Amino acid sequence: MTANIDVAERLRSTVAKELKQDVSSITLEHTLRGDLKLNSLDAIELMFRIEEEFDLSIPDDDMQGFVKVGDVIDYLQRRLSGEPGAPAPKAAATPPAAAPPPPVFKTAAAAQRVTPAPKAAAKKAKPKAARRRA
Amino acid sequence: MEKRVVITGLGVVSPIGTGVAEFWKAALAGTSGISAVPPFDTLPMEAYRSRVVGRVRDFEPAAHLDATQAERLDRYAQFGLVAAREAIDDAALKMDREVPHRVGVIVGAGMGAMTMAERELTRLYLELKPNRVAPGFIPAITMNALGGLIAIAHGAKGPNYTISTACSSSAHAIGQAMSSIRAGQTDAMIVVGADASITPLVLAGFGTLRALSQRYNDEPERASRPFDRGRDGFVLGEGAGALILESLPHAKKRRAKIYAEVAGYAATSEAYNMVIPQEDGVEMATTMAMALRDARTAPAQVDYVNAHATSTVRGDEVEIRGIRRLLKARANKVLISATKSSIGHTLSAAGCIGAIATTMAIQSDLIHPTINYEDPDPECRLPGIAAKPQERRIKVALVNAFGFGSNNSSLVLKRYD
Repeated sequence: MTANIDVAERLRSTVAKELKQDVSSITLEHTLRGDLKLNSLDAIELMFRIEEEFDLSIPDDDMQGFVKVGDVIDYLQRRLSGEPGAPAPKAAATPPAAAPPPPVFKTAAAAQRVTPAPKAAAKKAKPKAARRRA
Repeated sequence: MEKRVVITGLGVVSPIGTGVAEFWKAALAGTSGISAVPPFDTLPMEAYRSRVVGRVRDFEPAAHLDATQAERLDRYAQFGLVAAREAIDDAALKMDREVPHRVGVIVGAGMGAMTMAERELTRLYLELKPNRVAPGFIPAITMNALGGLIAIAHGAKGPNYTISTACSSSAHAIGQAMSSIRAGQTDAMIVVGADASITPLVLAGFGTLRALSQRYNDEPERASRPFDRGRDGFVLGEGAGALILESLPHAKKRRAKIYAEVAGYAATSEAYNMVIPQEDGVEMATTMAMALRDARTAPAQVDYVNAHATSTVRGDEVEIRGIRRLLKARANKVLISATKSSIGHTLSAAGCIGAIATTMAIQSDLIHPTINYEDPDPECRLPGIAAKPQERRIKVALVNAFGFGSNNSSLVLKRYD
């Protein structure tokens, strides 16, 4: 499906931009924390970038499920298609019994939960000027 | 017995060069690092009283730091990390051969992460998105951020703190590092002063305070002119200086190259006025006298003074008054220079950069010129001030740094042999 390929490519290129790496070096199997060496602050910055690129808002609970690049792509595809997902149990309530690969945000369980897309905020002209370093 | 403390490494990022070799060559050549301020986005630049700055040009963060640090860290912290690494390399200080808890870091930081603070605040109010404030904002604006970054970069696990006394911050940092080593608390200290506050808000603020030069907006290179009759305020600069201090036995044990000795230090408060020094110069003289006493050295032995001399009308005059008061007849024999004539006022980096210029003077027997000293102000005139480099074998030097908040500091550096 072209839409899926599009999301994957856009996400990989967003991650590559954030990490200042070539897009070819980012695979779906890469783990964010382990392979791509994102620390917790980097991960938040990456989420900012993804939210801007895809014009959506990712709740903290959803972020907790992102272990691999592919997890983020799956999540974005579900969100963008508006497909309702089965709500996952709250991460804190049911920690997974078997230890999954170290996630960036606590647990993989929350990844399954899909939150409704936020109302697109009225897009304002970004004050690019103000962001530039003086 | 108290341990003697020596300087074994230097590092600098300045408007006249990154790296001590480049900085010192340019300082001796009388190069001006002052230029017109680049436009601040859409702000009306003509409304700024002072439009000249001592900016570090050609500083490419990515050439010195990893990609994340190059993008995310505040400019002052980038300067500080770069200067610190140069000093550590220069000293050949190998952390894997040190007891990590006996190597500390003291940073002098006056304004901290102002660039980032202004950017984030502006964005917050323009975009109204509290959830978009950079997650690294808080760890960046805490004033001890640079100290932490340096410790993490080099594995220095000793005492780590930040001194914030405006323009004297990093002179105090050197003094306190000396005290720590003397007392036996540490073997070596990484001392850094850093500031990068050429921001829309800070330049405006110093402007409304009437602290900055306004008369030379069309001739930036002439704007910083300490002791000259035509001076009319300081030029806002930016940069970082770093020094490695260690105990003499420690330096000898590891066969380090020794640049000079940090022999004395004094810190005082004038308890007078937040921004203006006491006119008679008594407090400055007292501070210098206390530093010399700490170094067990007489005023008559002083060869060189690296003056605080920011190019303000009052400040320069009072400092010379203080020097005359302290040194008496010797005041006509000492050489004096103002590093700020070339680089502007680098605020909390000034103490370290002044100490680096002094160390290099001791090493090279050359004192850098005070540029733009064309028409000596009679209130400041002393034979030892010159617009040209001067030659002198220096045994004892004073480094002055005075700061807003009515605080003064003086260091005594000595030739080591």
